[in-house]
Amino acid sequence: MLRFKETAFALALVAFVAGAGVAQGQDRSAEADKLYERLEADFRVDMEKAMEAEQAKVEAWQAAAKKAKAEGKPPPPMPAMRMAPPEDLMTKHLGFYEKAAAQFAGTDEAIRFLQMFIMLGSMTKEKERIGAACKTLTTTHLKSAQLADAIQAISMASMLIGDEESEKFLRAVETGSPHADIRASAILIRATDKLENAPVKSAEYAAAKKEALRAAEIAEAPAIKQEVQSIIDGREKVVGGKVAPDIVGVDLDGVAFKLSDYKGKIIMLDFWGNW
Amino acid sequence: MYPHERSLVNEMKGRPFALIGVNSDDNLEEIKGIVKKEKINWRSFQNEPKGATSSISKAWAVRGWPTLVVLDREMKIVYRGHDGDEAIDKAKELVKEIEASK
Repeated sequence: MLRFKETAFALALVAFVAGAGVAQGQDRSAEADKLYERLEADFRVDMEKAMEAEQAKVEAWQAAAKKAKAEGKPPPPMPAMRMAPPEDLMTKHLGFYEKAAAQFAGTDEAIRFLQMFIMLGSMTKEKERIGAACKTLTTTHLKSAQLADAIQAISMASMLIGDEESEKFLRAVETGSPHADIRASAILIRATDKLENAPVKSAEYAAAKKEALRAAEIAEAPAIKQEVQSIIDGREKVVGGKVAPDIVGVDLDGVAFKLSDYKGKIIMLDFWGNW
Repeated sequence: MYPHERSLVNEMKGRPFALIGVNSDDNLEEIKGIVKKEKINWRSFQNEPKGATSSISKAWAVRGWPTLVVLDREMKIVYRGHDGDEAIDKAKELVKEIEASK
């Protein structure tokens, strides 16, 4: 199951919001579009405010620590870093998404509102409401082609409603969706955690791999097949003891070079980004 | 991580070692600014340069950032993970081995 790593809540959330905002279906009403965008913008504004408040707290502490040091006093204790967004903020926005889902109840338009409702709600204590939303997704909307993005949310809900409940919903999708790629995703999502983390020689890993390969076979979308291959390669091929694949590319100035230009030296490769 | 890596590169100058980045930022101009500001003194591939058919991180099955990989002189993978200190220690150890064998 997908889990939150211990990371600053803000970063994680912004990424979810951005992720949830893309790849939607084509024929959806302009009204739902507009509402979705507005809710997203409102949420972003509130999150930014919350982040700024956090930052102000840290800055105040830094200033106090500096002052204490100058005066030869012990520094004040560092403020606890917030790992979850403020509860009232979440409750407020959950309400917005719930209302929007109700407004479009029974139509495909409701799906993305339910998806956001579940994603945000997974970080709260609203177990009943989130469970109910998962149920709506996997019953009322079971046959919808728009369910593809939403099932990730069900996986995320596992941290609130539990692995067992979450798996039950995913299995309902796996058996009930008429769309091959959605069925494949539901299988893959269930297998991902073990596939990524269980020891390669364990029975758990073997079982997860079998499931993932089954998902790849069912899938029509190349992206899903690639995803499966990529996870497996990461665990089995591009690992300790194997010769690394060469990289032929360009540097940040656009100058072409190869990793093997450095063969003979010890190479430390750093996959990085400034985010 | 930048200061750590910067001092590693300085320490390893003239020795059998190379730190190579694979940068996954979208905005090339912005990242060039960061390189300047943070005095990043090692070379990086663009993970997905314009016109590329596939990304480097895909070929390497990288799914979490940062990921660090240490390769020996035959380009065999000796470390792969997310722990900067561990990767640096491993790389230093291998560099010393090469230097001792000369």
